[in-house]
Amino acid sequence: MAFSSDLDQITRAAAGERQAVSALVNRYSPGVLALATRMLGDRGEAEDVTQETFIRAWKALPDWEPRAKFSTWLHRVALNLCYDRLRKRREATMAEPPEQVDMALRPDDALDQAERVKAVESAIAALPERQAAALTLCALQDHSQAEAADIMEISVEALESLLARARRTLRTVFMERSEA
Amino acid sequence: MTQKMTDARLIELIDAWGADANAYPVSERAAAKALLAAAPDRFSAELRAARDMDTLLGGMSDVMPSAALTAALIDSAPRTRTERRSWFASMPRWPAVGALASLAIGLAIGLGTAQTEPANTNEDAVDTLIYAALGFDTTYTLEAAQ
Repeated sequence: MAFSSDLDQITRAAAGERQAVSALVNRYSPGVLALATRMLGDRGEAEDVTQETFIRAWKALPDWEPRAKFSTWLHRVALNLCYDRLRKRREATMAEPPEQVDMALRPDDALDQAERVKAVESAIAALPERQAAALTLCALQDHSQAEAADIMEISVEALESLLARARRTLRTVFMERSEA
Repeated sequence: MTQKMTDARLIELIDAWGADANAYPVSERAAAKALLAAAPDRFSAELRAARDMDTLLGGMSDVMPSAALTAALIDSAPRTRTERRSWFASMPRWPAVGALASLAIGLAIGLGTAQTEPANTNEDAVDTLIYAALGFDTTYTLEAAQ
């Protein structure tokens, strides 16, 4: 079970054992990076968030108490860092509105896979942040409903509501594009 | 306990969790599957829309960290005291030996050539004259200068 092996690795990583540190990084950095990339829509910023998340994790390890799953805690830290960055981005946008990015699909709808993925990534990053988080955690990553709700510090019912709204918004966006 | 499933609730589940009933909350999954099996056509529009969205989301590529990022994350972890000591021990020692030797030679030369008493120079006399010109009592220092 991942939880108990986490505890062992956390204890050894807290003692500075490189092998345990590498194991934690290899196990959790893809999920953290993916969450940040989907939330921020920017690979560079997502890497910064991932680094900041792990720096906080290393600081927390010596006093780590296994009340929460390490994975849940780590994703929650990453998510809150993303929220902070999105908030700062909004403040900057209010001060100086950026140029509108044209995300329309080509009329013939002959998108290759890379373009389609990019369009979906842009659409997810454009969602309200809590909807984007719910969709990323549940539909794009392998988090259980309970874990996703725990990461977002909301109930499963609230998570379901955010998911439904996110999927509805995306559907509308892509329907409008295909009709254009 | 299996809850009773209504059409409205099943549509909510499809809207939120997609077309695959295995993704629905455990407490409602069995009832949802039963209703879908009993009336497959009644939810075909919702299921089709949900399946399109599932396909769109399922086509998203994985995001993997680069080797450089992975290395940076590992390097950002604190090291054990032993590792810090071994890092110091692995440093070349000759610069430290050289610095210590330079310090010792410098001290030896400095101590060997240092004057034991301050020299009485012309500068002292000039200073005294300037102080006298400014009205200070310099008798004692003038005598000492002579």
